[in-house]
Amino acid sequence: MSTLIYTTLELSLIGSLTVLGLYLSYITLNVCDLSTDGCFTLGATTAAVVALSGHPYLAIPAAMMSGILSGLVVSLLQTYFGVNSLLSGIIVNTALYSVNIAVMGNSSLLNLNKTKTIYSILKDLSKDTLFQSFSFLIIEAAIVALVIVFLNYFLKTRIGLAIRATGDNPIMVQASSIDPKITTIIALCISNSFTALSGCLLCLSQKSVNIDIGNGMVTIALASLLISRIFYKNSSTLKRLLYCVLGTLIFRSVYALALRMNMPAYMLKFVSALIVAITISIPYIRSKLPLYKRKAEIRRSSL
Amino acid sequence: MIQISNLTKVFNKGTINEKIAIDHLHLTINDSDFICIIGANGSGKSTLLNCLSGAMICEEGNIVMNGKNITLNSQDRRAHEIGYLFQDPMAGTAPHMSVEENLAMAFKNGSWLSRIKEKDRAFFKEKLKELDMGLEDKLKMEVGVLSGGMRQALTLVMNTLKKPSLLLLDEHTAALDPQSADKVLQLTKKTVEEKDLTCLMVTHNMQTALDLGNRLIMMHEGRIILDLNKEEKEKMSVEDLVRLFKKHAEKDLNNDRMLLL
Repeated sequence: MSTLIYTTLELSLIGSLTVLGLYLSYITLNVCDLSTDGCFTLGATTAAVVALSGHPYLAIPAAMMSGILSGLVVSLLQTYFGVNSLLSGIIVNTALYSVNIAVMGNSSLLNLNKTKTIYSILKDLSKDTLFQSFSFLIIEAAIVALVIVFLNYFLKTRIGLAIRATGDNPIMVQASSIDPKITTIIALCISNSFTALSGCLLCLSQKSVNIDIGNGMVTIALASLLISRIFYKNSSTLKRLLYCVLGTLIFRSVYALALRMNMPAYMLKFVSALIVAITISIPYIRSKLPLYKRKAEIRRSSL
Repeated sequence: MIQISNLTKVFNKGTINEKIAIDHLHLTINDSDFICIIGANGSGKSTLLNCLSGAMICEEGNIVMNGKNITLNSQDRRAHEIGYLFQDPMAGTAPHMSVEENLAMAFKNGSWLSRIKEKDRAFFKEKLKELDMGLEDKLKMEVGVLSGGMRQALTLVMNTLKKPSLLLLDEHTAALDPQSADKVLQLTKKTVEEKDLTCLMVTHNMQTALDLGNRLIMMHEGRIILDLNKEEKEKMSVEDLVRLFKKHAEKDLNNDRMLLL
């Protein structure tokens, strides 16, 4: 049971980085970035290769850099080459499959069992101390905290305001001196660097990476993001970012609970797809409900 | 000074729906000019403003502003010097951002990574106080909850925080209720006079066109058919303007009839 809680917490913290990335692209910029799956895997493969080559610390910035590059390609396609935003994500996602296999050196699986990573380093450091059993969680919580502090600061800077405005009112942005192309590029680069960071941490913590590590990640992250959105209302940016972590935790807990109740593990993606479909459609159906009721009343009275 | 020479804008070029919106138009806008533009629907008033703001790029001609040729510059580059107010009061502000965040975006003070400082906040408050709408107490409020009149007044402040070389107003009071429209119009007049702005205003209200500004232009079929200075304008009445308006419309009618015969 305690392993289950531990794993749930770990997966929530790691996954919340992707959710924070999507918060920037999907909620703030209002662009649905479908390259998330490939970018997540790219972060994982890059981190694995760099760690294997003997650079445990470099693995993290290298993974983030790979995410920035992937985000750059997606954003350039939609700003300077006229590709539809959904389509550019799908194109890059497809291309990244080949890139990821190439990064792993023509293999679809890498093992980091005996490789030195930040996880193994901290585990050795915390040996025989109080933190021994949850050294992994400390790394992840620290990184998530850093990302939240950064985003909370960044979204209130002038460039952050410009990115928010690009998602909020494109007409206004075009008539002000902000170039929406530049804001889109910056936002997608940052967003994808967090997605790649998320993949990097998952790979390092489970000590292996395979080509399917990011499959369905965009749906899982969107499900978590939409759960967190329920709490937003009029809350501040910092609270919203914290709700992103909470939303991921809720999603992962529900999933863990379902596993305890003997739901087969392969159902994860079905459940996440269901959550996304339901959370998006509920507000729409609710807004239409009064109309349906009135229609039914008219039909009844005319009978 | 802004010199517009030989400006031509054609919609749907090369198709049967081809329409010449602006037809080899010449116009010189002097510094501190406040020009009201009137004309029937489709006469090219809004297209002229769009060509100046960069929202549309003209097919022919040149636009020279303060000695620089800006004909092909993108909209965001021109926006450093050209302010623009839309007819839609919702179009000029970001609804899910607070009043101060909208103002900070327009103020463009400090580096890209700087945030709103107390000094900026005091400056915004002072500017909003001049509106006399109580907006100075709503700095943290989301703009989306404000009324159309307030949002348009805020857009006016945002566009004039730093003195623009040219301010374009595209029927910016047409979508407001009469009281708010009047308020925004008075604010516009006050701002333009106090800051000594150069301004182009499109309006459908003949009385407004006669009351405001120092020049009046009437457009028809993409050309300027009347350009009155302050003295000539003062002698005009709304009836005179309407008569001129109709005269040109009838001329077209007669031409059409001649074609049919």
